[in-house]
Amino acid sequence: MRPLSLHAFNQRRDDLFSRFDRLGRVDLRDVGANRRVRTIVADLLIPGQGGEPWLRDEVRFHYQEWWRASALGWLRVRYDYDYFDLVDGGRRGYHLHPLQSPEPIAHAVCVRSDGSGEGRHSVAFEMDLMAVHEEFERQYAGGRPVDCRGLRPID
Amino acid sequence: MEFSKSFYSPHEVAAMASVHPSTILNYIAAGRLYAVKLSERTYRIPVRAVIRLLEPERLASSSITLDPEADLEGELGQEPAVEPIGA
Repeated sequence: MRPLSLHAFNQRRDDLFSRFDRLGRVDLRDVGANRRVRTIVADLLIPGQGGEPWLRDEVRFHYQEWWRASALGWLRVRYDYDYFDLVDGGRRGYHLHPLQSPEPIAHAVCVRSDGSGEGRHSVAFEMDLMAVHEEFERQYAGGRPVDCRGLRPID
Repeated sequence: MEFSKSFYSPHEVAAMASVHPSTILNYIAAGRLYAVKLSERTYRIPVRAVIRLLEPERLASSSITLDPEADLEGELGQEPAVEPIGA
């Protein structure tokens, strides 16, 4: 992902907030803008109408990104993008962070409703948050349980 | 009005809003009503979008928080904590 200027970073953050707010209740935090490392944390509960008992929350999207200040602008250096099925119990995720080595590795995680797959890492390309969000959104709207088919283990 | 489903079809929303289904499809095309497009002719409208259209005062509020001075550099090299489902 290319570095972002301050203006582009703030614009993207606000666009993400608006996008997430269409689907559920989002709590977005932008932390450390005056520091070397800045973090975006978005917690999206769907439907998110907590006070209405006939509409219990069904999924949670939790997104976190770490960005480092550089001469080129803000550089994304790490992310955790996760989908939690609150009804059936599965989880999907795309992460970029160190595993066995100090270098960050882009990978996928997938846990089925019976808990199988926990702690395993699968091969994945580096992902854009909006593309991940669209995939998670279709997963939820399609009403399907978490499916781990097609993933290839890293180790 | 009671909203008991997670998603609605354009026809269902049209009935709830007492308008023609083509009006709902026009709202979707114009970006006035959000819908997830599952296929070329299949839209699913999330309940939040329906509430926003019909009873916006009932919508649970989202929030955005800025904390520019917090220092999170120490988190960068750590393995992320796996939060329990539903936490």
